[in-house]
Amino acid sequence: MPDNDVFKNIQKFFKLMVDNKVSLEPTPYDIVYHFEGMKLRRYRSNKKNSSLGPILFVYALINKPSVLDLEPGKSVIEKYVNAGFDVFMIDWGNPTEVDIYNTIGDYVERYIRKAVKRVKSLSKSNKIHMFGYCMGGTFSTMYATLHPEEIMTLTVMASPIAFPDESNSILHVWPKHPDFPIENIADTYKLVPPSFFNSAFYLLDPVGNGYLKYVNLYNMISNDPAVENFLRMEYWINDGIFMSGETYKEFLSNGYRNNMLVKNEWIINGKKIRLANINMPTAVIVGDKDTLVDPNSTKALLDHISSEKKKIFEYPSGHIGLAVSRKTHDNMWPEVIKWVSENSSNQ
Amino acid sequence: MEENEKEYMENAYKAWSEQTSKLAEENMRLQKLFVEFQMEWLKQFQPEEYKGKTEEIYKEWQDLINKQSDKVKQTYEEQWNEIKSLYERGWNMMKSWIPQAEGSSSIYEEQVKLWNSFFERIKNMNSAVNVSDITNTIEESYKKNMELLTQTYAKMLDETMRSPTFASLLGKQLDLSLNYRKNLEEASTELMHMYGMTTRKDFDALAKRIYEVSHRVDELEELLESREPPEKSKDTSEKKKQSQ
Repeated sequence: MPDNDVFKNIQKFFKLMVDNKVSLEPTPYDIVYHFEGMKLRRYRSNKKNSSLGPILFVYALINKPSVLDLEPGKSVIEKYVNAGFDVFMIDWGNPTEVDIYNTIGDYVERYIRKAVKRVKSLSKSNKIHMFGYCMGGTFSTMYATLHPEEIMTLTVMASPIAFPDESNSILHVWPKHPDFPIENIADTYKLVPPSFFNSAFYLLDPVGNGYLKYVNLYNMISNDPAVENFLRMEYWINDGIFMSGETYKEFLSNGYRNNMLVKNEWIINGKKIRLANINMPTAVIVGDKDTLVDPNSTKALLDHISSEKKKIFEYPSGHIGLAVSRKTHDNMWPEVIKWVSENSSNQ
Repeated sequence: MEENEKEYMENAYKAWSEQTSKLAEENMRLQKLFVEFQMEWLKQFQPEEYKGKTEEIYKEWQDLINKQSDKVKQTYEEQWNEIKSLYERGWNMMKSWIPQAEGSSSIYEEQVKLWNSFFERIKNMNSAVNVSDITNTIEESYKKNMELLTQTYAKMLDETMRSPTFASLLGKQLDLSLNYRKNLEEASTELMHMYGMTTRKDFDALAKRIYEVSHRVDELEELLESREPPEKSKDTSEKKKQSQ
């Protein structure tokens, strides 16, 4: 319950909001490569262990990758840097009018490919670890099927891979319905705005997002670190990016509506995506309370690949909680990093 | 304080006080109505597992609201008496302060303190109904009731969202609004083109060209990378050496 100074705390909350002093992405990095709107970040570290090799983080085209580096002590990036990895991350930037024709093929075979090439040359390594979160996991999976020789390990977190008809997840149900106007959305918007995605995500749990979230804020209003954390999350949620209409259409139509990835029917840049080409050690990370991506959709990846080493990290968490919750940082991430380290072929 | 001023202030306090207790009563009445509405609503939509619990919580809630009503009145009365005395002290202080304002910082500080505590009281007064009386005094019943309501509401919404009817409705609604936007864009494009202005359509066409050119540059880059380093340069350097 809030204490008697609740009004003072609410005032403080608004002051924090207005002053905009809540900072994100504390881990220092350098931009080591630009390609069109994409930037490749390399995180500074004096703890690099060359036997581990480099790791490339591929984030989604929804919101910004800062969620992986939200605050010290609860940062996935920081954890990997401290473990001795040479950490790189793709920052997609904010797509603009010139990006409206970008397809998934462009993101996988142009942007990611160029980033991987640069990571390999900068770290002087022939193989890299790849980590994909959400839609970035789907892209990483596609890349790994096309260039398995370049990937040491593949880690996919909360990513939509399989879209079976029986899935009851709301985001699976809507696009499958024939009345859902995927093409019209893509063709009319050309750049699908972040507000469009945010409205859909809001509807996944209207009571939680529209009411309970604020009740929780009220109850913790005198707890400064918790309030700052709340603000960080709010900044991140409301700091979305646009998605090219072509990518939106392809992702929803080929993925959500027709489940083409696990059927080996998805073609990008004239190449068929065959999940069985994935032969490197592969791990999936899922939260069993994830309402955005059905955990079974991600876990299904392991049923279709030819890797000998497969691992599932399942944790009682939601989609975002996997990256930012204290519990996952204390219990799950050390395990994940240990697994990736053990499977470093540089060792 | 002059006698007529005091009388005026007293009357003002009285009017405010009466008004506030009316508001408090109205607030209670509305809360009761709201709870009754919620109960009716719950009876219609509650999931199986909550059946039977609602009546029990409702009774508890009603009892607590009835007890609360007197408490709210009492709180208001106490608060307003304190405000009245503070305001009176402030009024007197102000009168004594105005003629000797210059260089009288301690009186000024006292005045600031007084007004701060006055506003603090006002804030607490507002919070009496909005915060303390609801969440503190009848905390458990309120919490139970809200939990039940939100759970039922969330479950009902979730089931609605997953239904094919909702998906169809959402799809059709989106389609309609998008078509409206599309028509509006087309009409404005036509109009703007009439006056030689640049429209989004022109940017789209330009973006398409940029996209194609960027792909061709990529192809050329790859072609160059796949080629062996030219022998010619080696020859030239050797020739240069020889000539030297």
